[in-house]
Amino acid sequence: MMFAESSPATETRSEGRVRPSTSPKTYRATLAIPTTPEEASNLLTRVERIVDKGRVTNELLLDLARFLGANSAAWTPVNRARLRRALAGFDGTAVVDAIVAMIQSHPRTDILDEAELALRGLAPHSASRMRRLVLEPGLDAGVRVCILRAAARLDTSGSAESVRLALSDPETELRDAAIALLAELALPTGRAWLQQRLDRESSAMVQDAIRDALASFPR
Amino acid sequence: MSYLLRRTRRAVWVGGTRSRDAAVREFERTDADTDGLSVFEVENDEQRSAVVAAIACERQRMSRVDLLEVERDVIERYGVVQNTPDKGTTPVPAANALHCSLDWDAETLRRFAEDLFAEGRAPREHSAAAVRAVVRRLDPDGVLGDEAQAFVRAERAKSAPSHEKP
Repeated sequence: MMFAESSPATETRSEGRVRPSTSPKTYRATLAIPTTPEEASNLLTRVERIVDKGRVTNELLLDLARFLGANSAAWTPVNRARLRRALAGFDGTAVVDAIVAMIQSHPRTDILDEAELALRGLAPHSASRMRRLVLEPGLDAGVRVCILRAAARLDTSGSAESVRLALSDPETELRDAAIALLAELALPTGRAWLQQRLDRESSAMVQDAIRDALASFPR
Repeated sequence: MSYLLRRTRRAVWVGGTRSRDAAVREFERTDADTDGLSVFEVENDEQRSAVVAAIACERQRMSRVDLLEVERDVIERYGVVQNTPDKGTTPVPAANALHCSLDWDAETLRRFAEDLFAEGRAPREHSAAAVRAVVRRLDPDGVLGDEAQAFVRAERAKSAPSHEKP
């Protein structure tokens, strides 16, 4: 799978499997960047009409994804929620790929956090696509964590195996996230998995995280 | 003394995953960041708690919050820190009142991030339990946005004595 190497800020980007016919060379952002809450609201109203009419394009999807996590007064809590709802109106796989392409270009924590929230708002069947992407070694560890968290919250039982696998991932950040997820989601098998991992874990930081998680687990 | 807080994650700054490139990306501005990068200025733990609660409400999860804390006078060596309470967009008004913007160019942001990394700065970690405690202290009606309000209500319901639960 290919993901964007160029910044959305440059207005030209490559993309994943959002739509094979969309050329990475020709894609140009079409939505003006809002600077006020009113401009963002107007933009969202237009987008919502487009979604209602079913005239969604992958260019629009990529355009919208770049506003996730924006540090801008335009994106009030209400507008951010509308943006995520608009994204949830798209086809699950296409929107997952577009969001992942965007965060792979900008794996900044605040962007990852809002992307995770957007992914959690998609249809539950999107979780299977997310679980596959968690295994993509070419993705940034922070991006994989974001996708894992979203999949686990969107479809907890269906994603349990992905969380278990992440406990043994070579990336410390993935293991740390998986530990936190097990504690938070209180999966029935979580305690046993954590105990097993503790016996094999080499990182002192991750060992501490496991002990903390075990202490918080319901007995 | 006041500190400016920026949301980040531990893996970027600490341990075997520590990475200069990742640190720079934490301060990379996109074209959608029309106000510059958001930071929050705090002088005490109460204000710090408001920021932690705001981040938890914004991302609607009760996991650890990592915040890089930098002294205001250190940051001002790189550029102007604008107090911009009107540009805070978290669901918690008390945190928005602390909002500041680093409306700097890409090169300045990069230099700032590289220097923080070279100094060995590490984020202050707020555990999941600490995050839960500050969220439970919020008044749901004072939180902005339906989703964030529901998040706070759900969390407070978990902590309520069983006879008070709906």
